[in-house]
Amino acid sequence: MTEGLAIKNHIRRLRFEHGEMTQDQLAKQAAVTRHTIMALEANKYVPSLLLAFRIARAFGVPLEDVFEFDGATDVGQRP
Amino acid sequence: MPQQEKQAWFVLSVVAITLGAYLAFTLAVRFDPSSARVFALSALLGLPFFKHRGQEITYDERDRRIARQALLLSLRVLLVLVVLLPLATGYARGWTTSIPLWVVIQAVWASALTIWGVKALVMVALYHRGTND
Repeated sequence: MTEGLAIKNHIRRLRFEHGEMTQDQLAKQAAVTRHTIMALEANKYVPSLLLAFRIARAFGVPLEDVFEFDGATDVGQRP
Repeated sequence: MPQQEKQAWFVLSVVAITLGAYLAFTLAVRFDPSSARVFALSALLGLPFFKHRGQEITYDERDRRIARQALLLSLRVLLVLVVLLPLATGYARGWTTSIPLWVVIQAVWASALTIWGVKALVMVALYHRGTND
């Protein structure tokens, strides 16, 4: 299920904005497999904090520029 | 396809073939101690296929997370079976019935197949559906 994830990302756009970086190149810099990058871009996986920081560092941008918290779909908010 | 997912599909096919062979053999010779030969034969035949042919497999955090979730779920399924099957046997055959040793041995093999099969199935599902936690 790709719907309902509370954390969205802009990895695909950032890859193209950074010299058309390939998924494989980003995966090597983030120390994961290409399949994990594919899953991230398809919103099928929420990365760990460490992986999120590695990806942000690979792009040279702050974490908030890569990942965005969608409070509307977060099921954790309960009165 | 991630290497771990390929392994999961391989395990699923091994479990399916083993179960199919066991059911076919059991139907042919009836449920008796000789049906355990299917498990032994499958294990011996399957050993060469478990070699990775020198290929190094890399597991990243997503692979480890999926493997952990799949293992936990397979152990929960096994726990339910371990509780339910003795209860069902007790109600069906009486609480003082005796179970032959070969039946217990086959139950152990069936438990192993259950863990491997459920784990592989869950892994395939998580790779396709996605992990949300």
